[in-house]
Amino acid sequence: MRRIDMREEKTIRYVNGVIDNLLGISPGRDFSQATNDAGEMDSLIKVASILADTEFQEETLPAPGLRERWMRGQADVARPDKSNRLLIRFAWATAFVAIMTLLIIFHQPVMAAFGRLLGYGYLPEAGFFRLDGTYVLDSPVEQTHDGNRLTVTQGLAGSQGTRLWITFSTSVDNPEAAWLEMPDQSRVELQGWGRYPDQPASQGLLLIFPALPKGRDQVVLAFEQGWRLPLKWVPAAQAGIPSTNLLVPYPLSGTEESADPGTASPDNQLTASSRQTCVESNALEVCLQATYAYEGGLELLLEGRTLNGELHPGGYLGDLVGPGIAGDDRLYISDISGQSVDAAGGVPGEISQDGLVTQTLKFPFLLPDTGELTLHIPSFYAHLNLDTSIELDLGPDPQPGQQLALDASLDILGQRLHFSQATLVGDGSRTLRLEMKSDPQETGDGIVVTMLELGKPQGIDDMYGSGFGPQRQVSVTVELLGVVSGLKTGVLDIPVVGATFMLPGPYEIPFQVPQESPQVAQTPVSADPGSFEPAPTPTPLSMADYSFSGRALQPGDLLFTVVEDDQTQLYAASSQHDLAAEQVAVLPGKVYSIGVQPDLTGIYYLTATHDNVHKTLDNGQVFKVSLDGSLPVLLAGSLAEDLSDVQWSHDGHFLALQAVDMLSEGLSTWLVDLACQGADSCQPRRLDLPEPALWNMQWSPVDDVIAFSGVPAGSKYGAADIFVANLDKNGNLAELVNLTASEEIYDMFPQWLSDGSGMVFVCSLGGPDPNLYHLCKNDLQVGQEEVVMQIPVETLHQVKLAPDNSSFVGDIYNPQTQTQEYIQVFLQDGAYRNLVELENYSVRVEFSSDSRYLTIIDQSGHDDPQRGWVQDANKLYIIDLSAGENHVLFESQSPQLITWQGWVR
Amino acid sequence: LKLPVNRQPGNGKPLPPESFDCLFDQHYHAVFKYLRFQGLETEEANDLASAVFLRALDKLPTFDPNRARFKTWLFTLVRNTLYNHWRDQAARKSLPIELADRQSSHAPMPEEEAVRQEDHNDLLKALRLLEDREREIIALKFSARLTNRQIAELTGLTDSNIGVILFRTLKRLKMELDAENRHA
Repeated sequence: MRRIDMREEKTIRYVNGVIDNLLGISPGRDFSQATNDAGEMDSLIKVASILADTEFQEETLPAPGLRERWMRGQADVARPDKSNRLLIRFAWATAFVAIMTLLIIFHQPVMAAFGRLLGYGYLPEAGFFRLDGTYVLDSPVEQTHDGNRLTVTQGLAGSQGTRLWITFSTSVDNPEAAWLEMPDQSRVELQGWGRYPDQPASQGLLLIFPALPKGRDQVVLAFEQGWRLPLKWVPAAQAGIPSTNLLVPYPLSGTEESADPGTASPDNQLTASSRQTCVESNALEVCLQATYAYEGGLELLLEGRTLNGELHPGGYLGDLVGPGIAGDDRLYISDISGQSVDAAGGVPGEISQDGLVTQTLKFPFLLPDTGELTLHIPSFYAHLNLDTSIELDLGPDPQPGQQLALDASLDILGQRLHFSQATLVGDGSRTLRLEMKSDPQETGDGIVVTMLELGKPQGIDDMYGSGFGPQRQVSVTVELLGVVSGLKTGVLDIPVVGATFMLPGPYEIPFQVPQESPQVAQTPVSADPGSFEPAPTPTPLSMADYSFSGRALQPGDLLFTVVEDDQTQLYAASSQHDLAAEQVAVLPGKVYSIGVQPDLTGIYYLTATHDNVHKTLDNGQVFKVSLDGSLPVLLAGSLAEDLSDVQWSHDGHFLALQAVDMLSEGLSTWLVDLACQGADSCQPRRLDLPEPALWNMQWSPVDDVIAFSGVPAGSKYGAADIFVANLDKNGNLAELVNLTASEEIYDMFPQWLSDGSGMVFVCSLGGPDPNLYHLCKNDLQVGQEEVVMQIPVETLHQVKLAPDNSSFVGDIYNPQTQTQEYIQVFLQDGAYRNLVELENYSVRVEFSSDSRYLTIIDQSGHDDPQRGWVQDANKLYIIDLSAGENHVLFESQSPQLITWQGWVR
Repeated sequence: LKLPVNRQPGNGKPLPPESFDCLFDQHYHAVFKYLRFQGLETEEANDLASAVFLRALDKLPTFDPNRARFKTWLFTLVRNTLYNHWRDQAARKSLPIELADRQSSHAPMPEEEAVRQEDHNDLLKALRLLEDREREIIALKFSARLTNRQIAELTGLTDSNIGVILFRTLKRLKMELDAENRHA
């Protein structure tokens, strides 16, 4: 089972959510920025906006009278004609006879083969699955607690993984905090999850775990929230799974056939029989393997396999069934009277470890009484490995518009694919693409190539590929002007490592009308409500290791934290002392953020654990400590999990937190009142913002006001605006104002002016070039922004304004040097300069209060398949902006890591 | 600018007769856009869109709003018609006779129309560089405004597959459009 990459999944969900909002498919749907790649996401959403906004109304010209004829036809709509529907009946006798016949014909010498003979089971949640080696839940299990109910409705466990379907009556705080507990108390951690059904308001989840250790047929599904549901697994073949109306026994592999040569080969027998529901073409066999009928629908499972080891079933994305090339292109079933129904959909093909490809087809119709149905398939997809190439000479100076004659032919199973010309397309300075199309393919009775699988040509970056177009032409595209490789000249050799093609039919597979399988609802077994065990609240950190050096904080100090094991060194560096690092305190726990009290007599700090996979903070606790030798005091210890942003207010009164809300896929915003006196008043409160998609929190430097970037709910274009949340003295939301309210125009990354009178932000201007960004300014007047300047570097999106309001900095990625470059742009004249090139990933960019220094933490790390992104080392850079010099102020290597830095105002 | 309106007709409920008054207006443009995104030229797309609606008219009595959403049903017809067209380029000859005498109204383009046309051309050019399935999903999403679930029903993929393909195709389109912009 493919492991779900949660980061990519979140990004994909985000982009899809924005697109749906943009298209008005699901206005108001809750989504938010749950990715670090805001710039990239915005650029994708811009492309989506272009696609959505492109209209061809000037070009449309319906046929004369068509509209009027359409109007006249309206009356017929509400009268569905049921005459061509097939009728529902049972076919117990047919199914029974079929199974008995198969059992007699395919008598197996060992009982183990019986399981394989059963072939496939079917569950509505999972579709078809192999019975052999698969376990299902003995029964559903539910647990109730405080009037809430969690039910495990179904489960499927096999060598490729474990899947559980659950429903809940209210909500699960964090579906990721789930695990399977083995009898020996060991845990199998969650690999991924999704909604089931896959809808925003779904009250169900699909949880995906790795394969269970052998013999562990009793496990407990546990959630951090406290739910504990005992699960009992039984072999699927013995679990009373509804019949899939077996048509062809599971084909045995060649290895197993040869294992016992003395035994009559069951495979031979199978092959003989399977001709009834199998078709063969070009050494490829496709069998209708199983059927599952239910009220109003029929699902068919096709399985393809190679007969010669060279031609493999399945094509692009693994699909087995392809469209037609000539003749009837419908994928449908018919009955003996000639009535027919088209396939309504299916699921993509899956390639199993043994090279078999299965694909499920869905037919939403009512079954006839008895008799024979025929499945009509237009074509099959298959692929073939090749070891050849297409060679052409680009010459010493390839130019846009140039046409290159060539005479390249590939013979693929008798189909000749001929390329006679290539064209060079592009501006020649940024892009120069080689494009070639094959001559139209002959259809005849042979195959039709739909795509070539290309290897990476020498001297080319990663942009190359193949496609299929009208007139059965196969296209090949290669970008000749690579960022890394430069311009390709001379002989270009394009390796062809495979081909995907269609085996045109039509193919017909007759089969007997299957018996309808009634949906049986099993009564859940109740789990002991008393076994509800919430995860223990984290124990407050021991303060035994706390120490204060006596070094008092001074205005203009640079502070930074270095975590090692379970404690943190707090350092200060002052320009008056040549920026030498001086220890201030040793703080228990891993500190990830610090807020300085305005009178500099103490600090607040946040301890947490870092989630490397999601790059968020868990187990957060907030402490307050006076820098006079007294011990730190815990203020709040139950922060939301998955914290993505932490911001201290200007006067040290509030701490604002944002956390990823796993279920809504948005961000929740929380406030901690740092002036709290008692345990209750110190607990974080959720800020009930009426807009769900707000991020980039920025406290005003003078007021209890937070600025955000955000996409208004129901936004058609998905373009972000600048929002301002005004808080009252108790930290309650007084009002949330959309300051820019520009539907089509992007406004992002607010930066307060130092006097709090307004803010600057990155904005687009709309119009024909959505990639052109500017710096805009707004003096807290709704819709009254002015353009300050055009941002001179196209890809510089995220900016940080200097406290003297004279310049801003931002970073761009330079693909040629593979470095991150920090650029300073001066507001006065738009001039800019490079400050520093970083080789790694930078975090926390801070100006000193006099705007003289800029400090950046540069992190290096690696992606660990199990642990996510793991930091190896980091450096604290300091850039003297007046002198234009930079140097590394502090360097650390794992397990020592710099986690935070900031300047005392 | 107006907030988006959910134009999903019926939402599975029987459609009131007057709904069809606006269905034509709503969907002709969507079908035309789909065909243009799929690479058909203006005249060809108009021919095929008209053929689709004539075919839909014939099949309207068999449409059951309780079983399928109109848009999904319509776009099943559109796809089939397009595939037939591709399969047999002579399909145009067999279009209903009333299409043949349709007068062309392709007037000379004013300047802003020329600019718009150029933008369209860039986009259409970029779309042509996509794989067939990628282009199909983009066309269905942004012309028919179908949910991923509805596209999954039409294409035989899963919702999540559609989401992934859509995401990756946008990335590729972005790259292609950037290249076009730089060229411009």
